Amino acid sequence: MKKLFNIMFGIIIVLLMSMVYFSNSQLMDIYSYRDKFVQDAKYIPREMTNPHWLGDFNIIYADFIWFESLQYYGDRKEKKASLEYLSNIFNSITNLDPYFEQAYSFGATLVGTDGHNWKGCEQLLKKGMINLPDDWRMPFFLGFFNYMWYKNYRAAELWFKIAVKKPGCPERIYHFIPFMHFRMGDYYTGMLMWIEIYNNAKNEQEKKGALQNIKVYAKKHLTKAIRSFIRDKGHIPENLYVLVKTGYAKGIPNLPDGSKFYYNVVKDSVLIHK
Amino acid sequence: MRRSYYIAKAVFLESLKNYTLVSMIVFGVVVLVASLFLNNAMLGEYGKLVVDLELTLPILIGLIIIIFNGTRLVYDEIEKKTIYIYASKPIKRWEFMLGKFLGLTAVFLVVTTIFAILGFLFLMLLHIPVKGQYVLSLFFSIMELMILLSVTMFFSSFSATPILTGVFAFVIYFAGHLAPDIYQYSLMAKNQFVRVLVRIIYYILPNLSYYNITKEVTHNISISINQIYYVISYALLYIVLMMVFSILIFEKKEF
Repeated sequence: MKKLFNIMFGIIIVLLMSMVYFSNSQLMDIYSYRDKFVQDAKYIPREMTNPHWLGDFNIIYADFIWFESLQYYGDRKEKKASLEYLSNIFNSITNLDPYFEQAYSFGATLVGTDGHNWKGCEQLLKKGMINLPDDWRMPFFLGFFNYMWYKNYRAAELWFKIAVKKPGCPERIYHFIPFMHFRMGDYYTGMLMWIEIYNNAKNEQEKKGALQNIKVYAKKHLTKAIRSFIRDKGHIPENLYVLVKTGYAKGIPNLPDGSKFYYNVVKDSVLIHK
Repeated sequence: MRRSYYIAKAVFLESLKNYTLVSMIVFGVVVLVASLFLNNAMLGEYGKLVVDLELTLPILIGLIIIIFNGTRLVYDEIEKKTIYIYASKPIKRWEFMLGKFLGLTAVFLVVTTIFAILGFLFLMLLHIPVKGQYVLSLFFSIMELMILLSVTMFFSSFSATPILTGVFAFVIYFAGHLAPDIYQYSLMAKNQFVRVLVRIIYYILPNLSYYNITKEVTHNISISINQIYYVISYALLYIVLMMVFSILIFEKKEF
């Protein structure tokens, strides 16, 4: 009886060991740590990551998911695998720690650029704007992504305008607004903004840059007006002031360095006379 | 009060001799030091991690102390018959309970102070600026632990075993943090009876979510002076009520 028991026991052990051995490779694939984390993360709806469930430890858990999300991102990027659940992960982090600025701005960048999830990126940044209403980075990133990915310059301009009103926003962010006008073809408004930047500039380098832009924008504005004038009237304007009188140009700026704009018929372009 | 002081002193010294306290402090220090390995993996958020650990570890250690020591404060005295030593002396029961409470509160104070000093040194070594608000967060943590201890003492005054008391304390801790959700549920419930019942539960439970200001402190979100006054007065009221109920039950207990 004892001998039979020993044989049975041996067979069971061998069977168990072989089962473990053969299933090991599959198990490693299914339950590898990072994959398991993703499997877990995708099944956590962001509404369920309630910070109150974790007592005082929500913030530490947010740090933990932040660390894991970076590992997950690096790992997936290396394997060129899908990053579709990134938005879910960053939403969980920001549910646990609603003031985690990096999780919004950096998270939204990853969700948008690598996760190709514009909606998730936008939602994350808008959530950041609600939880961190004084932070300029959320509207700035919304503006920047609207400009970069969607070429929606009108929306981008509006978000940049919101960003510059927030405390601590760097002055250079304001430069994006005239640039959006440039992209929309509204060179005149952009030029007026650059004139304002020039007048408020605190150093020579900033003044130089603003002046350069005023010239570029003014030239574009006047060239566009000349093209429209020729198309409608069938001849070239006598001078640039005719464009203003006839309503084709909104105005000709007086450049701060005293130089003047003129139209060179031979070269068919607006030039600056120093 | 003098007699309560001696009992508190005895509890404090006993806790210092206990390996749980020492091992918890060692565990906390190891966690803080081990976090150094995450320095490069946190993408510029390592400072936040260290501050979060420093502000959260005293709570974790305090909770473990409550579960392991707090639940046995009264039970052990009865079980080991040492309560008769107190009974034979002119010590009133309320003095006994108060002394036990103050003794363990002193332990929380020591643990939090040790972690505050260690954490601030750690932050200074890493050139992370130390803010005054961290002290406020630690003070809130001590108050939270005191509330939980008073609740534990209330349960231990009538509970049959320390395990049961520990389970009660553990449940109250998480239920207390869910207080905002319980309140929301009371607003949303369609049935009037359920709404009133849930509202009563909300008022009975300690609202521990008031004491979790770690994220506000970490991210420099200002805390109003009114909030501080409210939280302190809430803690004092809750502790006094819990202690009064515990003493009333303990007074009627027969050994």
